[in-house]
Parts: sequence; structure tokens; C-alpha cells
Amino acid sequence: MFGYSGKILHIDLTTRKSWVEEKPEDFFKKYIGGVSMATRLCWENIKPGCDALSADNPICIANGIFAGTPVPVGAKYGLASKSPMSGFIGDSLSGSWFCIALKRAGWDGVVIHGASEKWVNVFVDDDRVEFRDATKLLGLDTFQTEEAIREQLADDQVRSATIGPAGENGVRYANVTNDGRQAGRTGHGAVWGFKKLKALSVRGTHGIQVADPKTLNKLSFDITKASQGPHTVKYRVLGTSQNVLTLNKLGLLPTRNYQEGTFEQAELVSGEYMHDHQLVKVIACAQCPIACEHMSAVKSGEYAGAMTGIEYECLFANSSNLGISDIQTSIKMIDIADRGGMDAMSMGITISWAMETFEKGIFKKEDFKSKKYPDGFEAKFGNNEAGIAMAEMIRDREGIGKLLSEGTKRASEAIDKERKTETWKWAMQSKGMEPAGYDARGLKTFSLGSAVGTRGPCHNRSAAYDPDIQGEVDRFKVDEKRGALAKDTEEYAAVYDTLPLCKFIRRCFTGKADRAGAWPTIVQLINATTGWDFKFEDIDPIGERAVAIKKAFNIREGWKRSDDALPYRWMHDPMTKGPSAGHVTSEKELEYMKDTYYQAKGWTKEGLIPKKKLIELGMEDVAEQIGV
Amino acid sequence: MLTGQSEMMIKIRQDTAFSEIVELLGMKFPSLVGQIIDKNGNDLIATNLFSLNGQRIIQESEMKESPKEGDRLILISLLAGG
Repeated sequence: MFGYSGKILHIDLTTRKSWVEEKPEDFFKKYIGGVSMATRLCWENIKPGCDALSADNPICIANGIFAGTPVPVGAKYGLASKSPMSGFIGDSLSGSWFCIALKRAGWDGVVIHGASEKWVNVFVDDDRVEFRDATKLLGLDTFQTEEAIREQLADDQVRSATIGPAGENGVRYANVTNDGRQAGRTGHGAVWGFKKLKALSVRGTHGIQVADPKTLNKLSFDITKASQGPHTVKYRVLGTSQNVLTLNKLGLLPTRNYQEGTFEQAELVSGEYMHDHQLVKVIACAQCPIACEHMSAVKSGEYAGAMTGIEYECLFANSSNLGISDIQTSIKMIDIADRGGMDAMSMGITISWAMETFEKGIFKKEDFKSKKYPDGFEAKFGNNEAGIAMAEMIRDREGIGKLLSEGTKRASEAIDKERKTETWKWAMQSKGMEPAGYDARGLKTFSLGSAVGTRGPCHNRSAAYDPDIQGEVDRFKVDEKRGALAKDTEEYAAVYDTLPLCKFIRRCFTGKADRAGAWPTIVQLINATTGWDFKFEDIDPIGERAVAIKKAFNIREGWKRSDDALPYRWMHDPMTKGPSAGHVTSEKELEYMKDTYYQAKGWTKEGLIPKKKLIELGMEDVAEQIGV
Repeated sequence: MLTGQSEMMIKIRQDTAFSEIVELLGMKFPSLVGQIIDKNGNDLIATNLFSLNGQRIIQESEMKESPKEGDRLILISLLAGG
């Protein structure tokens, strides 16, 4: 088999044993890699119904088909476990050197079972597995941990996926980090922390064989050349932070815990402002010619030295959505999240919930006592010091940080129970996960995409904001087309997340980001790598199958139609200002759109998957378990 | 960033089409050509769009139509991710 080794490495942290599973070629043809294969491995290896924070929840890694080849933006891998935030599938992607090392070590995937009694760094040295004491790594941040492991092993080619203090401390939305990139959302770091897995390190020394190197090189060269043109210029020059001003102009920039969609000081936290004042350098993932990671730093003052890659989603959550217009505070907060190893989106949105709860008089100053602030602090919107203090308290689970480390769903439930309040009404979450930085009240198709997302409301898994923002449909209205649009954009995104290829390349094949523009080249890339005979019509099922296995996982974990929901605020509280003022997605509209979505998917009215549909996708064993 | 300004007022004929406004912008700000406006100077490169008053996107088929008195035309550059 070309492009794959055909081997999955199983590691048991409880027994400290490892073994190899060989998968047939058909498995890879169906699930390819990334989020699809990682979820499939989860499906096969989890004890259904288990607690996400238990030894029965496996950590599943699936490499990318193009990792370690010349294919641009192909160095990505999928990571899946049952999410401690949602109780459903938690599937994430990360990129860069770690997955190349894993591929060179000869592994298409890794499944980590059990839980360790002592903190451990698992070292995969080609085909040898070593369980190393990680005691000396405890307390180190994510970047320091990678460096420390390289020093311990005296090899600067060793690549590690790690957790930081947030994962060690049990922050529910902790991340896994490798090479400065995060497998974000859904709380993988909490799963790793529960298992006392501080890091998974890899040294890979083998080559990777592809079927047709000449064709693959030619295709890769052409895509690389195109990636330097106008289709990626925005990623290269300003990065995704450019979205701050764009979304502000459309009234879609979450502001003060999603109360409004316009921020009066958006210019000060924009990509343009950062470019002029904070940018240090622009870096790229391994195997990427685009380079979108805009490293931004605080250059002077109290927070001098804080430096990290700033993306739009982390930025809105730690600026406009907190009423914060001091970009240096935002950089510092994101730096705390990245080094601490926690999801900067969930962190920022949970802090914005706390700020609104304070402003409504439910939280008092004394609720925010800490070692640094023995009398507490005023947790108001726009209070820079409060934002930073809460980020640190969450990472350390100190004081109220312990509550906030649980995310908005659990934090609001606990406070409402204790104080007889209704803070859940401004807890911005669905399926226990905080949403993306596109206010869905002014994006009806995206509100559907957010509600039905298998891992929760997500801009990466659903591209349903595209037809809304680009004006293909009236973004303020609902009609019978929305289900099909949400399906198409979700499955389109799932193809990229399964190969995986970074979606920023999507216009570089022919200039068009649609299927007709991209699939012919993707077919050639797959065939030149593997020697398979994929055709245009084989690409869509990759995405459909990826969504199906994730949905199947959720169904087996107890999913029901009412779980496809939106935050209360998006359904009941219209914004009062800006171009999107006056709109919500009502319950009636949402239920209607869900009907159209399930119908477009070929699912039942209750959102379950018919056996026939699963069999069509070649998922007979899944059909047997959850098909109706 | 390319033009050095975030807003500007332009006076146009009553029947000036959106496509002509693209040309006007290209002539006034040559730095936009090749990055936001296509090399011919008369069309927006994909993912760059005109939003009318922040509420409605001007579709390709509407580029020959004209804005109304007092309309606010927003040139937006879309990109996903983060």
C-alpha cells in the first residue's frame, strides 16, 4: 500500500503495553484519515456510554494521507475522543511536524487506552514504545514541554503533542498542542490530563512511499505556485484577524458576550491594527507555503514578552466579546491560553459570561478573590486586569477559576442552582461547547449549521456562513433550501478535515472553492499518493461518511433531536444596533430548518440514520448498531 | 491597509453602476488592483464583495445596477478560519 503503512499503534497506559493492529486497505479508502478515521477509531475502541474522563475513553489519532509528502498544507492529523464538554464526539485537527514524525515512524494512527497512575511521557521511537516518567515536565507550559523533551532525549528532531498546566489541572476545555499549533475545542487536554499523559513524543526515521512521485511533485509544485497568488493574500498579509472589521461592518462581531454585533472600538483590535503595531513575524506550519500564523507580541509595559499566534476566533473572544479594546491585553490573554494549553475561544467566552453575570449583579467583587487579589476585583466588561486575572485563575483552577474552567454550560448550571438565578440564558453554548465568532442571529443558514454540528457550534465543521455572508441567500430569512445548504457546506468542510488539507488552500486549485474547482485536483493527489483509482464522484462520500460516523458516535452516546440546539440568546435576544439588529433564530425557524436538514441528509425526522443510508456508505457494522 | 483609509465619500453620477465604482476605486487606488480588483481593473477578485449598507451583498448579476442616494457601500474581504 502506498501513502499508508496500514498500521495502527495501540498503547495501554494502564498496563503499559503496546500492540499493532493492521487495517485492510478498504478501511483507509473509506475513512482516509483526519477526523473521519480518528472518529472511526474512537467508535471501535471506546466503551459506549463511558464517562469522557475515564480510562474507558480512548485517545485516537489519525494521520493525514498527505502528511510527509510534498502536498502543500497536507501535514495535518485528526484527534478524537469523547468530549468532556459535550459527552459526544470531540474531533479536532492540528498540523505541522508532529504528524510528519508519526508518519515517518510508520503509523497511520495511534489509539491510547487506559489511564496511567503516574504522569507519563509516551515516546514512540519508530516502532519502539517507551513509557517515560513525566514528573519533571509537570508545570511546564506547552512550548516549554516540547523543548524540555527534546533536551531530555538529546534530539531536536523529536516532535511532541503535549498538554500544559490547564490540562494537568483539569480545565475542561484544555487543549493538546504540538509545534505551537493546537488541537483545539472539545477538551482533549482534559482527557489527556485525566489519563496523566503529559505528552506523546515521536521520532520517525523512515521514508514515505507514494505511488507516483513524479505526478505528485508536479501537482504539488503547481498548487504551491498558486498559493502565492491572490487567493491566499489575505491569509498571508493580515491573517484571519482581518475578519474583525469585516464582521463588525456586517453587525456580526460578537460584542460583550454576544449582546451586540458591533464593537465601537473594533479598529483597535483589528488585524490591521495588529499588523501595524504588534506583528513580530509570520510563520508557517510544516509543509505549508501560505504562512498565515501572525505572531504578535506585547513589546512594552506590564505584559511585555507575551507573544503568540493570533487568529480571529481567539481574538474576538478575548477582545470585543469582553468589551476590551486594548490589543495588548488580548494578546496577553491568548498567550496565557496557548502556553497554559487551553482553548482561547471557550476561555474568553466563559469569561464574558462571568462579566455579564457580574454586571447583572449576580457575581460580586468578593467572588473574584485570589492570592493576587485578596479583595477580589470588578469583573466588568472592558476591565483589562480582570480579563487577565480570570485567564490565569482558570488555568490554575484558583478561586472562581475552578468554576469557570468548566465552561459556560456547567458554570451557569452551578450558579443557577446555588443562587436561584437564570444565568444560563446568557451562557453561550450548545452541546456544552461555546460557539464561533460569527453571530448566528444574522446568519440563518449558519445558525442551522451551528445547531446540528456534531461537536457543537463550529465555524470549522460547518461552512454554512458562506452562503449567508456571500449573499447567495437572504441571511435574515429562513427557507426550504437551508437544510441542503447546511448539508453541502458541512460535508464539503468534512472532505478537507478528513484528508486533511488546510482549507486555506481551497481556492488554489482552479480559483474556485467549490467542488467542481477543487475535487478534480484532489482526486489526482489521492491517486498519485496511493495508486488508487478514485474518481470525482468518490470525493463527496468522503465528507458524507465523515459526518455519518461522527453522528453515529453521538447517537450511540444518547444523542436526541433536542440536542441540536442554539444558545438561548441567539433564539430570544435580538441585537439592538448595527446591520443585524432585530433578528433572532426563533424556535419555530430552527425546528423547520432542522427538518429540512435531516431530510436533505436522508435521515429520519428525528435525525436518526436509516440502515440503508449507512449501508450505501459502506458502513454495515455501524448500520447494525445504530441504524433505523 | 492597501489604501491607507478605511472610509471615503465619493461623488458619482446618479446612474453609476457598481462595476464602474470598482473601476473608479482601481484608478484611485492602484494598489487594490491585483489584490482586491482583478488585473483588468473592472471586477472584484472572488471573496471580495460589495455589501450594501452591511445588509445585502451585491451579486455578480447586479453589478450593472446603481446605488441609491445615501447608500453605504462596504468593500469586504471574506476569509474563513481561525
